[in-house]
Amino acid sequence: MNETTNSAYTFGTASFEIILLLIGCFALGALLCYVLKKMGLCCKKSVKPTLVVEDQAESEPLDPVAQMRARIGTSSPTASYPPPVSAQMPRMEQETTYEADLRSLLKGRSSDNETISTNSNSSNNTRSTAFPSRITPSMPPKATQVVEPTVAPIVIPDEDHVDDLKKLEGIGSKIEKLLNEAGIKSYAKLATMDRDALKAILDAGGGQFKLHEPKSWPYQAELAAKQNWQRLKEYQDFLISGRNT
Amino acid sequence: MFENMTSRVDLGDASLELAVMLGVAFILGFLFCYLQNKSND
Repeated sequence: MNETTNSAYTFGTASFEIILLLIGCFALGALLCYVLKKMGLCCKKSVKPTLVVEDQAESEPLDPVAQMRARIGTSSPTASYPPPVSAQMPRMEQETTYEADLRSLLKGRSSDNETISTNSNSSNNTRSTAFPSRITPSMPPKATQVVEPTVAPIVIPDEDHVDDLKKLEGIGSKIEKLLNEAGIKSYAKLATMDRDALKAILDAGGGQFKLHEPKSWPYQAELAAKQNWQRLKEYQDFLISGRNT
Repeated sequence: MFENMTSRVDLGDASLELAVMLGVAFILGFLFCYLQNKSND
């Protein structure tokens, strides 16, 4: 019986089968490594960066984004406190656009509060009425009384005052015209608007404006109204870089 | 010679060699993926 089969089973056939088996085993090993990596049992990254982040988390007991989420009642996988280490990694791709905007807003808020708190005595708390859509942080900065004001406070202009809204990222000539027709002609006026109201204006303007997202416009307008051009530039760069990524 | 090799009834040695070769290929595949992941990190 072996005699009849061996005539067809040549050395070439055997070699081919062996090579196929070797390739299969090679692929199987690679597949096992891949699966183990996916399960987190293999190819783990170095531990040092994680330890550094944990140290930072211990030194910074409260995450402002988690606080903000808790205040506005949003639920997300990273909203729990303490936040997971992956949420604190300084990676843009791991942050949603909303969270990135929140972080940027809070970053700007901490610097703005320093000036606002020093101006609050003289301006008689006009800011809270000027920007009702803003959420004030629960913990004011500690060194608020020491820092000198570097940014001019918002001056509510007349109704006829017209600012160049095209300086704000995301606003072109057509949208500026649309906003002007809706009565929004100045930075201060735009800063008092909230995202939903601006979105309604855009939706009413036609289908060509429906893709525009006005979420960042009030904050940009607030910075522009306070003549904080440096911070506005940084925020716009942040918006552009976030959009490109 | 090849016919003799393939017509062996006692394939114990050949099977052992083949198993070793397959094991080595498996380990090489695992190391390949492992080192590639390491370099990507």
